[in-house]
Amino acid sequence: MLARIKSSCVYGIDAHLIDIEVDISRGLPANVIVGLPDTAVKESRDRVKSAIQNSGFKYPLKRVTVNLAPADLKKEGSVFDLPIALGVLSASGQLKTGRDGYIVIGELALDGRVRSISGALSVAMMCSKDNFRGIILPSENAEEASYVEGIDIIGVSSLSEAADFISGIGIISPRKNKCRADISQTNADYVDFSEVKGQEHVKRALEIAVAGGHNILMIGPPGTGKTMLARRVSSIMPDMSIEEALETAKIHSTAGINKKYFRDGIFKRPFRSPHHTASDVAIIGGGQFPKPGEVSLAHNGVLFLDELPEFRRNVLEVLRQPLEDREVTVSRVKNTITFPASYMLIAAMNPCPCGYFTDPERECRCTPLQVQRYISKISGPLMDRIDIHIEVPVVKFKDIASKKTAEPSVHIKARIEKTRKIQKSRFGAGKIHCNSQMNSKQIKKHCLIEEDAEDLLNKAMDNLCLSARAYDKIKKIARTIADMDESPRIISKHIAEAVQYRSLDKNIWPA
Amino acid sequence: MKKSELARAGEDCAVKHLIDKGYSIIERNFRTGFGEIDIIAEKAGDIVFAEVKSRTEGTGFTPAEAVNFKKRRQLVRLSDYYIARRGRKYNNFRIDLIGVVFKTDRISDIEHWENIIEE
Repeated sequence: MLARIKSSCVYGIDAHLIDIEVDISRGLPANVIVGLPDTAVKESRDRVKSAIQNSGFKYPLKRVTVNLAPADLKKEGSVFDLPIALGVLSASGQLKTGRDGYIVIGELALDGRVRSISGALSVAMMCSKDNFRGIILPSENAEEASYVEGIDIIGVSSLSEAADFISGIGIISPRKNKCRADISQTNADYVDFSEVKGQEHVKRALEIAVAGGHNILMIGPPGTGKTMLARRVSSIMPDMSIEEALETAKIHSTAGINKKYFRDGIFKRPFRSPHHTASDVAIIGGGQFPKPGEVSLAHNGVLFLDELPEFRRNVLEVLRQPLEDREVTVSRVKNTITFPASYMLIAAMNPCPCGYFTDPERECRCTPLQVQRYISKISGPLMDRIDIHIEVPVVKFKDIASKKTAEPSVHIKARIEKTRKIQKSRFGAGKIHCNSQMNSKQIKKHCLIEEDAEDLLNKAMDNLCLSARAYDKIKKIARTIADMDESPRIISKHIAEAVQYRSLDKNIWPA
Repeated sequence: MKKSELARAGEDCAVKHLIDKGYSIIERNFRTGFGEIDIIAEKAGDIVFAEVKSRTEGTGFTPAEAVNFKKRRQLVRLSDYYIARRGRKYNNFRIDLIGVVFKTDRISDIEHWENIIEE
């Protein structure tokens, strides 16, 4: 007897439909899985057998052949346990399929319980795209899948429950769709900018950075609040659209680190801060069956690199390509996969190895050579992609002690959303969305500078020894500042402010 | 007791045991060019190929240990041969091991392991 069950396997972040055929024929008891299974899939036959026996069914004393189609795709992971088990039950006549049109995924425990899996959201999205009626999946994954509209989300906790449902006996009500209800309540658990006292000019720089989608580097002595400020950036970023949120959630779902993420709600902007010992593969993604790395997990959110010069050189270099293309392509023998990686880079660093080079109070213990080496760990090309450099000075005690509360994130966010709207109407439906993505041609077109502002810029270029690279950057930043002022033309005060944000291009550093 | 006598006595015990359990015996010592199946029995449409291993007590080895890789492969081949030749009217097949341990003349222990070989 032959049984057919639809299942799915996740490649990169997208799910592919996999047909599972189970055939039971005469012969000595044997269990064969064909169709390019990897070890975890091959092992499933032992789990399936025990689960079937421990759920009150009989495992057939016959030759059981399981085929995973299409046969040319490598199958990976434990998601096929449940569909194979249902296939065996149905092929051996212990189960009549009364309900059709469902995709089945899930890992089995030996006692017949269903364990959670990764990538459920991707599978649910494929389900809705290919017009399936619904998805049967581990109940622990039902919540993340319920963000997808238009399909029945059936969470099951055991093999017998799934079998009852398929045969049409059991009734499991589909999980309610979560997407719309979730949007409003996400901002509650962000950390807020009002908790940071002082550092008003850094907050201003961060606001400009978010408004124009610029990457930012904060330089300052230890304990000045660089990390604290960075953590709060996601609270002032504009709300994600449903499409953006789902795309980000899909990446987190396939990475398998989904529990906390989905508890927080998918409309929260991700904030990723990998440790500086992270490897290049951890950052951009990799593995035999490529899994997303930190740059993709930070998609539509913030990637925060604390202690930037401490990162290994090759790690910093791999960041360059995703910053440009807003996606990364991971190539392996078995698979080549493109992950989206559109993130805002926030980096923080000390000005020198001891940390106190720019501190007016404390003596720096580093030699000029050491300071130069430290700074030069960050390559020119990477620096080129960071628009704003801001010095974070030591906070004055007066500011810390003051009772005055700082501006809350909501106000800043409202301003940023306004600025983003201006940029949206400027660039239209093209490939770029914000000022930071302009190329030199677009800079020429959109950054119209008043004459006296032009003079100021030229003077600044000469006097501050700014590089040619800085010239375009300053124009871009000035454009964003002008947008925040709702001014169509860039005037001298915009340029004056923008010039400040190129501190590493100035020759104040020993070189 | 000689080795062949021991084996014969063990098989007799195993047959008795199977009949007690409700099996009917189809063949004994089904011989082919590459070996033999000790007992072929049937119960409720299921065919059992039984391999009997006999031991006298005190040898230090259990019957189950005597079924090594080579023996397994042989049992599978023999069973497949039988299924192909005469098994047409049956549906389920399995290979069992029956271990018989003798205490001098009298049986001390008989053990029956079901479905010992699975590919």
